[in-house]
Amino acid sequence: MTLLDQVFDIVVCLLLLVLAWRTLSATHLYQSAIFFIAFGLTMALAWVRLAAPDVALAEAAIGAGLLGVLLVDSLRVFARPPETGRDSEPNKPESRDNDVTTSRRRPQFNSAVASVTAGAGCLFLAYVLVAAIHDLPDGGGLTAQAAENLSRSGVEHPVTAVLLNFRGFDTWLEVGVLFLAMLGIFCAGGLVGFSETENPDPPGPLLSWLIRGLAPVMILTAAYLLWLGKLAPGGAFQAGILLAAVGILLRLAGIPLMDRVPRTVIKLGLTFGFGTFLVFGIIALLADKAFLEYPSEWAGEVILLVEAAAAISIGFTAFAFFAYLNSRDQSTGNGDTAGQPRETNPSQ
Amino acid sequence: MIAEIESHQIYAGTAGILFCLGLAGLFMCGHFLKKIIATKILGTSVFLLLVSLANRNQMEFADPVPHAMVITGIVVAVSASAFALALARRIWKETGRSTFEDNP
Amino acid sequence: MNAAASSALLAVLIAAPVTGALIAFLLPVRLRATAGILTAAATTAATAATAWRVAADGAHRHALGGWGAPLGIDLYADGLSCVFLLMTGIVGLFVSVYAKPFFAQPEENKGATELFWPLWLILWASLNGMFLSADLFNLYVMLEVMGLSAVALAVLSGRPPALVAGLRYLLAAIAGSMAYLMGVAMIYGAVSALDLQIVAAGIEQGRSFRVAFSLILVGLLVKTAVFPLHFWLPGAHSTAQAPVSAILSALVVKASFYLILRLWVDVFDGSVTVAAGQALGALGAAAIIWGSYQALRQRRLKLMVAHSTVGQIGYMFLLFPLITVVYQDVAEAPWLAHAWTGGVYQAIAHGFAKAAMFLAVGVFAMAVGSDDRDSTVGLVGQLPMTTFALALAGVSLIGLPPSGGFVAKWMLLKAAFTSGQWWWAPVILLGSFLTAGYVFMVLRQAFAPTSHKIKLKPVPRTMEVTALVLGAAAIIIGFRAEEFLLLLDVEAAFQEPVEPHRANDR
Repeated sequence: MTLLDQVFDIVVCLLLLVLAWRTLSATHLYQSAIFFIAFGLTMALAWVRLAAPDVALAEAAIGAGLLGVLLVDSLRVFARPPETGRDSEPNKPESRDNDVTTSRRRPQFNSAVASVTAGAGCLFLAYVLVAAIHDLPDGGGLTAQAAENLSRSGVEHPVTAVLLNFRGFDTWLEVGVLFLAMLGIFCAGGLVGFSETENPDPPGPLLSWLIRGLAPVMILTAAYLLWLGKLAPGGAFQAGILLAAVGILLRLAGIPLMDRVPRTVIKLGLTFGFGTFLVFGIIALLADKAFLEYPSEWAGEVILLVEAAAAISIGFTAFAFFAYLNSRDQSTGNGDTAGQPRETNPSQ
Repeated sequence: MIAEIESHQIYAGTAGILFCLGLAGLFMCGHFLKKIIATKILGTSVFLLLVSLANRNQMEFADPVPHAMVITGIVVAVSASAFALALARRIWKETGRSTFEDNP
Repeated sequence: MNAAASSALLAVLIAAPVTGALIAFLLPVRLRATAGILTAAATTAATAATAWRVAADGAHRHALGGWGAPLGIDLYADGLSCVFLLMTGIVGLFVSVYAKPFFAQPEENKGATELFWPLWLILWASLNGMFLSADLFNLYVMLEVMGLSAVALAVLSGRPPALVAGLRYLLAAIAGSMAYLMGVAMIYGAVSALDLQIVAAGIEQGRSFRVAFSLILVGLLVKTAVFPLHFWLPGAHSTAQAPVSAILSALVVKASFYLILRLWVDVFDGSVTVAAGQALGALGAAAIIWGSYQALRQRRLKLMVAHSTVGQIGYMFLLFPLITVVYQDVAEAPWLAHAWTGGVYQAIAHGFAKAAMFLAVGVFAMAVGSDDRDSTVGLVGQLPMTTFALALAGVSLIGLPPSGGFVAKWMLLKAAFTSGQWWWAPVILLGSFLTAGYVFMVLRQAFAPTSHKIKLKPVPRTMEVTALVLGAAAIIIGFRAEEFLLLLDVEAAFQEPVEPHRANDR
């Protein structure tokens, strides 16, 4: 390792720490979000330096991309005063409630003491953690076992082999977590369903045209990423998020996708990935094999099938996160959605 | 002296400090959005530790298990954050609260 | 322990509820409850079959994907897992039966209640997964599945107080699982394994391992809502709807407790210290007193029951100081078995009693239209069955004989005296007195004579019966200690009690 490499690593790490600090200490939410996005980009550098291209792709697509879009969309919501004013829920328009983009706290009698204590506690914890991490013995990793079984896994890329075969159970549950988060968002959202975007100014004709042109290219890229996962970094999650990006862009371009889709299709789309895994798992159980065990001669094909289903579902779900949160008429009333249009309500 | 430090050690140490920063942010920040961002920093620190520890011994390829764990972890963490964002937005729209401290 | 029989049943315990959840989600709303109850019955039957087989042929192991540890993920069931699985199965089945008429009531069927069945069945799958998984990272994913579905259930009504409590619950759950995962990352870096048995074999003495275990422990303590990390629990458990509160209080906090117990006795038994055991016991003692005292002060029944959960969780943690002691020979420490059984018994008995109590309070609240303690005056005349269910659950929570709670507290008390750690005894007794206080305050109101007859909303009989059945179960397990002990002893994690690390041994 050259000195230059070391200096680079140290700079990246310091940058990470400073950006994390600024993200959390910024007074304005917008500043916070910008620092956070910069933090995400710096993390991408760190992943590359640590030879983790799969993680870099996933972090860029899901961590920075999807969550970034959701965060920015949420900033827009928090920047406006809430529209409720109903009698049942006392809405106190205090000064700090209007000052929504800042997170200044009321000057508190004991806030300085609390900060100092928390700071000291943090420093101590950081010291203990770093020392413990430094002293960790090296277990050697599971590389050897993975290499030994790679030929039987049906794919050539070790990370995909772990994700889809050796530890496919985790990945199944992870697709389940996405589905679950969607159900949670339905619960939190007041359950009105998808509708047009509340984006007040749609993009101009040129941008709109560009987005429409870009969409097929992005879908093809997603398919390529999916296929590539067998051999090299890539795979279902990255491909899925790319699909979601297509949907988000089209939606921002004023092309509604979700509000015209029949409820049944939405429900199938959300459960497709989680369900496909499950079906293969149950088939394996019925064939007197272990849950999620693939027949070794067909493992590659089964994995591609499962991955494709997962990618479609992930793309659909991730897009639904955005489309649902971004829908115009959600969240009115105190959980009482009676009398509201529920035709597109996807949970029914 | 400095030549003895490997890059994975630098990143692993950073992960430890980031973890504390994220934890402090989660407790000290008032606004829902910043708390959610703090959980994301907390998660990132854990993932950084996993990957940097996996980086210690490179054979023909790096240990794929932590990499797979991190990808799973990222998806899970983002799903949880998306849910938290949805809750925070709904609370804001319904009651105009953006922190827990406004407890009536 | 290695010669565990392989069984596909373990995978069924996770796959069956998930299948039911997906089917319920795809079905129209009116058919979901039926699909849900059928799935619940099937899952409970599979749970019973698993327990039966484990009791007959010892522990079972299932290598998911056919790979096996260390590369793959294993499911593993022994007596301890089966005891918790059975509790989940029985409570889950009756809560499901209660939920069908409950959500059919128009005033409860608001918000997103049509999602109750998919969410609850996925939660059930993750609970089973928590009790079965033998893989540290898979347990993290299970924790997250459990956390997300629990929070989604808690905010089902969509009412603002529930949303705020739900967000607090979610953030606490995320922080807890991140601390847990940080510890797991360190463990993996050091021993390159995630399977509990392999990790247990690879654990060494030293600061790094202790820091890693501390992170895991703190993360799980947050999820178990142990004092002073219980801040999220009363709000989330009291603002949820009755069947959900029952699930959260009776089952969800038990899953992370189970994991603490499993790691403490099976994996990190070489790293734990007497001081750590005493510290956990002190937290438990503080929880007993604080939680029970707060419960006594509440005027709203649901808040009272939620605070009571904080107190009752405390009893479970008295197990740790009692089993973490220095000894030469197991024969010299006869209290170990008592402490062990008492702690686990407390978790199970509380599961039945607390589910019964939340369901009974749900019936009261539905009948009266409020869960204010004073509004239950004279209800015994009109809702005798539910009042009786509440009384039975209360008897078990207080620890009066003959009930499951009595067996648990009696064993802990006995272990405290025989081990010489007498200082836990006054805490146990004080907790019982405080518990008796709040239980009798409710019962006094319910039994109080009233001049005027309050007009009650009719409550479906099924709801009353299920609450009573669970209340009766909390008593009956007090008579069935023999069978319980036989099952718990299968491949006991506790054949070799924890032998704590002694600092001067190195």
